[in-house]
Amino acid sequence: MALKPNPPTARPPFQPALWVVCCAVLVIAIPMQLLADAGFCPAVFNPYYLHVLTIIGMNIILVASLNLLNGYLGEFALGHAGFMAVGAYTAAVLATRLLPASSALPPVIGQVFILVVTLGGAMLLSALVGYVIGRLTFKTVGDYLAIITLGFNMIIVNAIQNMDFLGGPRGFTGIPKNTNFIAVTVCALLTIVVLRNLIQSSFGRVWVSIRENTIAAELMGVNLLRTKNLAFTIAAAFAGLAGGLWAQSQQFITPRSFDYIKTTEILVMLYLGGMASLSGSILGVVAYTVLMEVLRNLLSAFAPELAEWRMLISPLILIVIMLTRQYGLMGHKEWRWLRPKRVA
Amino acid sequence: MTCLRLEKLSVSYGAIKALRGIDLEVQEGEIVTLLGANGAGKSTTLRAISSMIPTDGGDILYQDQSIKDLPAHKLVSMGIAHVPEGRGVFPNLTVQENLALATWTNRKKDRVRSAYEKVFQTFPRLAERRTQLAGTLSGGEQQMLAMGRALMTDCRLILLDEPSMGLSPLLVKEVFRTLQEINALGFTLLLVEQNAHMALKIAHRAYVLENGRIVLEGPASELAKDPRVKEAYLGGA
Repeated sequence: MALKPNPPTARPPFQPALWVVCCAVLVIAIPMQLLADAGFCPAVFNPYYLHVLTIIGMNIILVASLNLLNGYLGEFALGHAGFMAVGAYTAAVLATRLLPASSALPPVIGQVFILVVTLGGAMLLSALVGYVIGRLTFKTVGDYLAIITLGFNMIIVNAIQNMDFLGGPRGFTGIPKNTNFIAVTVCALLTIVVLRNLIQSSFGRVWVSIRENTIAAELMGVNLLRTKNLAFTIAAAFAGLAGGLWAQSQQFITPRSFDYIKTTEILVMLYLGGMASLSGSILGVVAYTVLMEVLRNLLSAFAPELAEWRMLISPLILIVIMLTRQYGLMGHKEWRWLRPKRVA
Repeated sequence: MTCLRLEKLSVSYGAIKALRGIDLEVQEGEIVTLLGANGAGKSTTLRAISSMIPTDGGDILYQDQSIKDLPAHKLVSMGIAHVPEGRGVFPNLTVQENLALATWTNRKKDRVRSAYEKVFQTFPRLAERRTQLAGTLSGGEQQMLAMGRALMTDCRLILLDEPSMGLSPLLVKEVFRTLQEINALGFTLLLVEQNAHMALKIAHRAYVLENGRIVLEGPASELAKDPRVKEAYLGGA
C-alpha cells in the first residue's frame, strides 16, 4: 500500500467558519457605533454598553496574547501590563503630536490614518522592548522567569512615573479620542485571527513542543532562546496594541493603571477562560468583564458602601478556579470556528 | 570513515566526576553499543555528545570536525539525532505533528515527503496512528515514534538512550529488529543499553563503561564471549 502522507504545511487550511464569525461580528459592530454617533440610542445600543464592549475587545487582545506565552509556550510571564504601558504611552505621544495633522485630513480617512500610525508605533516599540527583555529573561525558566518579568513590569511603570515629558505620576492628559468600538472590534478580530494562524503554523507546533518536553524540542533542532523570544515579542506587540487602543479611548492614562494589579487582572481572565485555548480567552474576558460590570451596578444601586468590595471578587474567582476547575472554562478546547483542521 | 570520535572526554556534575577521559570511536555505517551498570556514565556520554551538558575536557569530533562547543540545536542540522531516555514524545500533539516537528531544521517539501515515506515504511504502525495523540500510544509505539522522529531529521548518526527500557520482552525484540533495519538503511547508531544480551547481538562493536572509564572494548561477538562481560552483564556463565 502506497502511503501518501500529507505533510502539515506552514499555512493552516482555509476555514470558512472563522470568516463567517468575523464578518458577523463586524456587521453588528459597525452599525452600533454609527447609530450611537448619530445620537440614536435605543436601549440596546446605549453608550454604556458600547463602552463595556470596547473594554471587552481590549481585554481579549491582552488575554489572548498572554495565552500565547502562559498557555501555548508554557512559560509563566507576569509582566503583560508593562508592555501595555509602553504601547499606551507611545500611542499617547504620537496621537497628541499628530493632532494638528489629523485636522488637515478628511474625517474618516484621517482617523484611520492616525490610528494605524499610533497603533503601529505602539506595537513596534512594545515589540522592541519585549525583544530586549526576552533576550535577557529566557535564559531562565519557571519561577525565575515569572519573577524577572514581574520585575520588568515594575521597572517600566516606575520609569514612566519619573519621566516628566510623559506626565510622571500625574498621568498623561489630553489624548485625542481616536478609538471607537469599530476600531477595537477590528483590532480584536485581527488579533484572534493572527494568533490562531500562528498557533496552527509550524511555529505554534514548536511552541507547544517546548511546553510538552523542552529537552526533546531542543533535540529536534529547535533554538529555544530564539523561538521563545519570538513568542514573547509577538505577545508584547499585542499588549502594546491593547495599550494604544486603551490610551486613545480613555484619553487619560496614569502609570499606576499598568502596574502588577493590571497584570493580575489579565491573569485572572486568562485562567478563568482556560489555558491554551483562544475560545477560552474570549469567554474568560466576556464572563469576567460582564460579571464585574453587573456587580458594580448592583452594588451602587443597593449597597453603595460596599462598592470597593467588588475588587475582592477577582482574587476570589482565581482561588475558586484553581480549587475546582484548573483548566478553566475551555482549557485546551476550542470552539469549532477556532479549531485547527487536523491534517490526516 | 570515522563518523564520531571522543577523545579523552570528561564530564563532571559539580564535584562528582561522571566521565574520566573516555576514548570512543564510531565508524560510518556501524552499530556501536555502550554497556555498563547504572551510573557508569552511559547517558552522560550521549548527553555530552549532543551538548545537553557542558564538558570538562577532551574533544568530540563528528566527521573530523570538533562539535564540542556547538549548541544543541545546531547538531541536528549537522546530522546528529538523539532519542532521549524515556522517549520524550510530545503527548498532546498527534503522531504526525510529532514527526513534523522533527523537520523543523529543514522544511523543504520534497525532503519532508520522502522522510515521511521512509518513516512510515519502517514503522507502518505510525502511519495507522497518524492522527492519534502521542500520549495515548502504548510504550512500544511511543518508542517507535521517538525513533521515527529521529529518522525525520536529516541525520546520519542516531544516538539512542535505552530504547528497550520498560518494554515487554516481545517488544524489546521488535525494537532491536527495527534498529537493525534502520542501520541497513544507512544510519550509524550509537546505542546505550542495559540489555547487554540483545545489544551485543545486533552491534558490530561494543564498549563497556565502569565508573566513567572504558574498561573493555572490541567486536561485539568477542565481547559476548568475554568471561568478565558474561559475569557482570549477561547473568553469569
